[in-house]
Amino acid sequence: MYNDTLDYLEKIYEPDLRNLLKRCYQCGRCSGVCQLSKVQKYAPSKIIELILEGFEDRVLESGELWDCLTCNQCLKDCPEDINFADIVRIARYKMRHFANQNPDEIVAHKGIYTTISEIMSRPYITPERSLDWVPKGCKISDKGNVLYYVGCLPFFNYEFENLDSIATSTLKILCQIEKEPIVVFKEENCCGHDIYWGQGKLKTFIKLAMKNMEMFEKAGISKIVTACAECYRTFKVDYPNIFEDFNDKFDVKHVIEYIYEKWKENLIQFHNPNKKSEKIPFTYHDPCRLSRFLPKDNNIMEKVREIFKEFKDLGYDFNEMEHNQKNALCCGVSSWMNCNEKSKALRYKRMLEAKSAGDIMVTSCPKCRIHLSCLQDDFEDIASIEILDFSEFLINHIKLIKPDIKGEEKK
Amino acid sequence: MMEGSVLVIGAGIGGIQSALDLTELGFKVYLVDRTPSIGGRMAQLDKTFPTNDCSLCILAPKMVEVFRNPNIELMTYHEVQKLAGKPGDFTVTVLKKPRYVDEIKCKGCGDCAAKCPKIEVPNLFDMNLGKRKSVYIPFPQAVPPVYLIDPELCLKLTKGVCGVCAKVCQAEAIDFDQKPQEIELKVGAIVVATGFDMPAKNLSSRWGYHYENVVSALEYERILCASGPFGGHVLRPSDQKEPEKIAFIQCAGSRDLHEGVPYCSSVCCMYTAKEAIITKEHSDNSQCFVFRHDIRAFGKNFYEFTQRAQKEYGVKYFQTKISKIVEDPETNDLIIHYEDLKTGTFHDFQANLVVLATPLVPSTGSKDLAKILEIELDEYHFFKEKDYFNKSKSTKDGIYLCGFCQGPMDIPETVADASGVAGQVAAFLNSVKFDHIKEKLEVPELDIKATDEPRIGVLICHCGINIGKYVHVPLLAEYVRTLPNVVQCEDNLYSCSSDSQTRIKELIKDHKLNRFIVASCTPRTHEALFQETCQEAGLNKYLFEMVNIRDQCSCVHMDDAEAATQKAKDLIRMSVAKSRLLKPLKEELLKITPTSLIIGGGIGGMSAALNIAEQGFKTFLVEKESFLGGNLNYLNVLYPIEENASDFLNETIEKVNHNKNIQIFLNAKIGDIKGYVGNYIVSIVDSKNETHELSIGTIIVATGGKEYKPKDMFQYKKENKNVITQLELEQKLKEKGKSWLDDINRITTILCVNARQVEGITYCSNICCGNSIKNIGLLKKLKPELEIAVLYRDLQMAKKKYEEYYRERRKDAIFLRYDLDNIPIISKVNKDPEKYNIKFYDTNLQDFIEFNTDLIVLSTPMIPADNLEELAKMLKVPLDRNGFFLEAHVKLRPLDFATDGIFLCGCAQWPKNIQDTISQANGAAGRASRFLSAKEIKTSGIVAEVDPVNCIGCGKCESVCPYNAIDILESAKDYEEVSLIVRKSFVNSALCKGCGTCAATCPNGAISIMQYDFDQITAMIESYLLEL
Repeated sequence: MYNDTLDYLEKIYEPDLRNLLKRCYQCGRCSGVCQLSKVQKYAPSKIIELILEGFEDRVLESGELWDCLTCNQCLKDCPEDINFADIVRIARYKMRHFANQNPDEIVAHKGIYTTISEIMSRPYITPERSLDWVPKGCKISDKGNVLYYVGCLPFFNYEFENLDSIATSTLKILCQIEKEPIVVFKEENCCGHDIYWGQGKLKTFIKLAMKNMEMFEKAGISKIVTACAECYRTFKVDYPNIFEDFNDKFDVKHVIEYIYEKWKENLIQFHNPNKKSEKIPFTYHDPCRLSRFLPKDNNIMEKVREIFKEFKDLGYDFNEMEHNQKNALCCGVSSWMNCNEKSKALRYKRMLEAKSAGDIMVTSCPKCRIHLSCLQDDFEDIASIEILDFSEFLINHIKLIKPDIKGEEKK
Repeated sequence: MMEGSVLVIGAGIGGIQSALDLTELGFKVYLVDRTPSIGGRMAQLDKTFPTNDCSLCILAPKMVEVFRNPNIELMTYHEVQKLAGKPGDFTVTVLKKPRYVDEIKCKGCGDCAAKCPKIEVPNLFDMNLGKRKSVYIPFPQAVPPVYLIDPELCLKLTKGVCGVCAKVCQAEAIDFDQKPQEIELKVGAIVVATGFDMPAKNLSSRWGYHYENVVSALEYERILCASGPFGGHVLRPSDQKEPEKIAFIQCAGSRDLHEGVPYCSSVCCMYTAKEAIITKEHSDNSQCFVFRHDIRAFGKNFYEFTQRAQKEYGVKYFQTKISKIVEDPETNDLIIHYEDLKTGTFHDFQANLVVLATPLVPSTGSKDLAKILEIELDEYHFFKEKDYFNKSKSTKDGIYLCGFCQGPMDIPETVADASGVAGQVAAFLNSVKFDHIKEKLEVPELDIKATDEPRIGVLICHCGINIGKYVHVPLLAEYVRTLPNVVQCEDNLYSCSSDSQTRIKELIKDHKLNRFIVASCTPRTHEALFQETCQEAGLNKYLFEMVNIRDQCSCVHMDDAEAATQKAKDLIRMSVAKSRLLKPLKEELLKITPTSLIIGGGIGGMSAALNIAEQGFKTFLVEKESFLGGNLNYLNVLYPIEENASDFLNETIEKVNHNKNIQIFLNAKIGDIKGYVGNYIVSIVDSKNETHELSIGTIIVATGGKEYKPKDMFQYKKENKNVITQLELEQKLKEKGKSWLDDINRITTILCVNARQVEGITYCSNICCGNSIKNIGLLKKLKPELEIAVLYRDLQMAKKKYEEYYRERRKDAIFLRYDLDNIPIISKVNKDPEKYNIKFYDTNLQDFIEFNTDLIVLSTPMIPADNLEELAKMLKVPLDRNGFFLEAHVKLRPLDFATDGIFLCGCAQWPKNIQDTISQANGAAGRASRFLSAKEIKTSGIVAEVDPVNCIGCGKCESVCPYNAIDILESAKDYEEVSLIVRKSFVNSALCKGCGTCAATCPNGAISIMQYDFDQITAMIESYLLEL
C-alpha cells in the first residue's frame, strides 16, 4: 500500500518545479490577467522567473503561493501553455513537507471540510453517510450501472442552507430518466479535490483516489454522474493521471453533459409548466473547473449554453455576464483557502456582473454557489439574485419524451 | 519528353520575380493568380523598410514588365484544379473564372464603374476598409488593367435588371454570358508562390479586434497608403478622426500556442517600426507606442532602423506582452492592460487606435492546393520542403516553392528565393531551354533627323496624391502647354500604370511626336519602363526625358505647395529645352562568354557553382584557402536538423569535385579583373603562383564572413582559457569529445557581445542566437548535469522552425535577460581552475544578480571577411558601412550589384544561416545565368564620346575613369616635315557607364556624354535663368 502511494506520487509530483516552467519566455501576460492581481500584488511571471533562475527556495519560503486562487486564468492566456496552477499544487506539497509551512490559519471554516476529507482517506475508516436526503420514489442501490457521485453536499447541509436540493434535484433527474436504480454509496469517500489543490497533501489525495477506485470497481459501475464541477474535473483529468485506465473503465459525466446527451438522443425535452408572460432574465456562472480546467476539446461550456438557448421559448431569457466561459471571473475562493476581504472583493465583482445580466444566476459548482451566496448576507444590493445549481434550475423543466409521442412527432 | 514551360502559381512579388527570371533563362511562363490582378501582398503595402520606398512604386515597374513580357502568359482570376503527368511533363488543368468583361476589349477606362449603381461592398484590396462597386478594378495600377464584375452583387447577373455598364462601355467589353472555362497547360515544372494571409478575425477576443478602432497591420498599411481608403490620411475607422495616440501591438497571436501559431511571423517587428515612422511622417501630432516582447530585427540594417524609429522619430517602445485590450464605449478609445517588464508595474494605456501585428499564416487554399499538387504541408501548414538545405524544393520533384508559402520571410528573402527557384528550374529543364520562347518584336524605329522640328509630348503624373496633393498639377499642365515645341501635354493619376503606357503610345502616334517627357517620380525606378514604351511606339528611347517632380518637388516642399509647383514648372521647362536637342542613340550588341567565376568556395560559392554548372555552363570556383567549405569546416552540428556539418560538407564537396563543368582553384587569389559583363578577363594566381587568364561572362561574390574576436572584452584574453567565443566552443565540441568538460560544471553564454551597440558594432548579426541555443543542447547532451545560463537581450529565433527549437532548448538552460544600460561585469575569481564571477542587472527580475561560472562563451557578431576592400576595388563594386558588400537594392535586387554581370550571395551580403545562404546562392546563380543563357546583350547608348580633333592625349580621363573604360591609343601621324606619335583617348562603350567624370576632367572639352552633352546642359541652364 505504501509503495503504491509513492509510485503514484511520482505521477503527480515533480520534484524540480523548474522542469514545468522552462517554456516560459517571460512575456508577463499571466501577471496581467491574474484575477488575484486585481485585489492584491500578485505576479505569476515573477514567481516563475525566480524559480527558473534558481530561487525556488525563496519562493517557497515566502509562502505567497498559498494565496493563488488556482483559477487557471493564467494558463488560459499563456502563449506557452504553462500550467501555473499545477506549479502551485506541487509547490504547496513542498511548502508543507519541506518548508514546514502549515496553512491552517487560512483555511476557512476552521478546516473542518478538509479534515473530514483527510479522515476519510484513512484506509481503516469507512464513512457512514446519512441518506435521509434521498427523495421518496427514487430507487437507489449499492450496485449497478450508473453511479451518482454526491460529493460533500450532505456534509455542507449542517452549515449552509438548502444545499440538499442540489443532490435531490440531481438524483430525481437521474431516476426520471434511467430505468434501473441509481447507485448511491452510503460509504462514499471524498474525491480529494481540495486536498489535492489547496492543501498540498498529495499522498492523502492518492489514498482517497485508491479507495474510490476500489469502491467503484466493486460496485460494478460503468458510468459516474456528478453535479459537482470539482468532482468532475478530478475524475475526468486527475484520477487518470494516477490510474491510466480510469477513463476506459468509467464514463465520467457532469450532469450538464448527461442531460445534454439525453436531450440529443431525443429521450427528454424541456418544458415550463409555470411559464409567465414576462421573460425571466438569467445568466450562467462558469466554474473554473468546468471551463479553464478542462481539455480544449471538452465543450461543456458550449453545451450548457445550447441547452439554455432552448429556454428562450420557455419564459426565460439567457444573458451572458461580461466575463464568461473561459474568461469567467472566479467565485473568490478555491479549496476553502483564503476567505478574506480580497476574496470578498472578487466575489462582489462577480455578483455585480450577475446582477446586470439577470435575476437568476445558474452555476454548476456547489462551491461557487456557497461562496457567492455567502456574500449575499453581507451586501444588500446583490441579495436579490437567486443563485441556483444547474440541476435545481432544470428539475422542473425536464419532461420525458414517451416512445409513442416520439412516433407521433415523426409523423 | 520535357516541356520548356513553367507554371507559376501566385503572382505576388515571389511569383513575379520567378516568372521574370524564368523567361530570361529561356522558359515560357504561365503566371496564375486567383485574384484579378498580379502584385499580391506587396501591392497592398504602403512603404517598404528600411528604405521607405513606396511599395507599389517599386513593384509597379515589375508588374508592367510582366504584362509586357511576350513569354509570360498572364492568367489572373484563374485557379489551378488538377495535375497529371510527371516531373518535366506535367499537364495542369486551370479554371478561368468569368470576369464578365472581355479582357482583350477592356481598356480599363472605368466608365462602367462610374455608371454602375451605387451598391457597394467592402474592397478586399483595401482590407475591406474601402468600398467598391459591382464592376470594379482591384486597384488603379492593377495588372492586367481590366475590370471585372462581381456576380454576387451585379443586378444584371442576380436579378436580370440594370446592365448599364454594357450600355456605357464604348469598347463593348461587357459580356454577361461568360462561363467558367477549363484550360489545359503542358508544363515542365511548377513554382508555388502562394504567399500568406493575415486572418485577424480568428484571434481570441483578448486582442480586441472586434472593436472598430483595432486594426490589423495590413489594414493599417491601407490606411497609410495614399491610394488607400482614407487617401493617405491617418484616420481611425470609428469616427474618421486623426488618432493622436497609436499603439502597435507585437506578437498579437504569433508565438502563441493558444492562438495556434507557435512560430514567429518574422516580419512584424520591422514593419511595425516602419509603420510607426511613416505615421510620424504623416502627422506631427501623432504619438506612436510599440508594445513588444523581443525586438527581432535581424536583417541587413534592421536593428539600426528600429533604433532610428526610437531616437529620431520618438517612437516609444514598451517591453511587454499585453494582457488584453478593451474599448472605452464613450470615446471608442482602447484601453490596453500591460505590465512594463522593465519596471514590473502594471498600467492601463489609453490609445485612440490600435494596430495589431497579427500572425501571418499560409494563404487560405494552401491545403487544397497541396492536395491537388500532391505535395506535403508541414506542421504549421506551410508547404514542406524536401530538404532543409534546399527550401525551394517541395516534396515532389518538379514542383518548387518560393516565398512565404514555405515559411515566414520578408521581401528580399522572397526575391532571392524566387531567383533561386528560377535557377533550379533552369537546371532541371536545361535540355528544353528556349523551346517555347518568343523573341521580343522589334518595332521599326521612326526616322528622326536632326533637322526635324521637335514635337514634344509631356505627361504629368499625380502619383495618387503623392504629387497631386502638393503640386498643382492642372496648373502645371496648363503652363507646360505654353512652352515652345510642346505639342501635347496631359496629366493622369498614375503614369506608370499599363493603361498609361498605351496612352503614351497613342499620343506619340496621333500627334507625330518625336520627343517625349514624363514628369513623375524617379528615373531610377521608372525610366526604363517609359523608354520601353517609347520604343514600342517606334521612338528611339533616348528621345525620352524624365523629370522627377515627386522627390524634388512634392516630397521636399510638402509645406509649400506654391513653391513646389513653381519648381516643377522650372524643371519641366528645363527638360523641354533639353529635349529639343536630344538625338537618337544607338545600342551595341555584346557577346557573352558563357562562363561564370565564383569567388569563395564556402557553402554559398559551392551551391552557386553547382547550380550554374548544372545549367551546362563552365564555372570556375576560386578559394583562398587550401580546402573548400569555408566556415562550415569549423562547425560541428547544424541546427535545427541536427545534422553533422562535416557530412553535409563532404557531400557537397563531392558533388562539386565530380561536376565536369566546375574547375576549382584552391590556395588561389584573384590577380586582376578586366573587362565588363560577358567579357571579363580574370587572372587567377594559383597555389604554385602560376597565373591563369580566364574569359568570364559573369561573376558571383561569395566571400562569406568571419567571427569577431572580442579582444579584451568580458575577460577574453590570451591567459584566460575558459573565456571563449562561440566558434571556439564549436571547435571544442567538434574535436575534443567531452573530457574537456570534466572540470566544468557551470557554463554561461553571453549574447550580443559587441553587437547591437550604440558604438562599436551596431548591427544584429542574425545567426548568433540560434547557434548559441544549438550549442546549449549539445553541451547538455554531453554532460546532462551541466548548469548553463544564457544572458540575452532579445532572441532572434524568427525562422520557421526556430521558435520551436528555442522552446525545446529552454529546458536546457536558464535564460537571463540584460540590457545595454547594465552590461554584465565579469571578474576572474580563481586562477586554477579558472572561475569567473558575473554580475549584471536581470531585467526579468528587476534585480542585480551575481553568480560564479567555470566557462564563459561569448557570442560575437559575424563580420565581413578580410581584405574585401581590395576585391571590391577590383570588381568596382561598393561596400556598405559595416563592410559587407552593398547590393543594388535592398528590397528587390538583393543579389545583384549595381554593376551588370556581378552578383553576390551569403554572408558576403549579410550574416545569415546556411539555409538562407544556399537559397541566395541558388538565386545569385539564377541571376548570373540569365546573362549566360542570353548569349548576347545590348549596351547602353549613354556613353562618353571623344572628339578626336580636340583631344590632346593628356590621359587625365583615363586616370579618373572608375570603370577602366578609357584607353589612350597611340598612332603615328605624318606631317609635311615631321612625323610624330599622337595619343588619343578612346572610350570602350561596353564598359562606359556614362558617369561623366571624364567629361568633367577633360581640360580641352573634348569629351561629351551622349544625352548629357554641354549644349543640352547649357540649354537647360539658360532655360532656367530665362524666367527668373
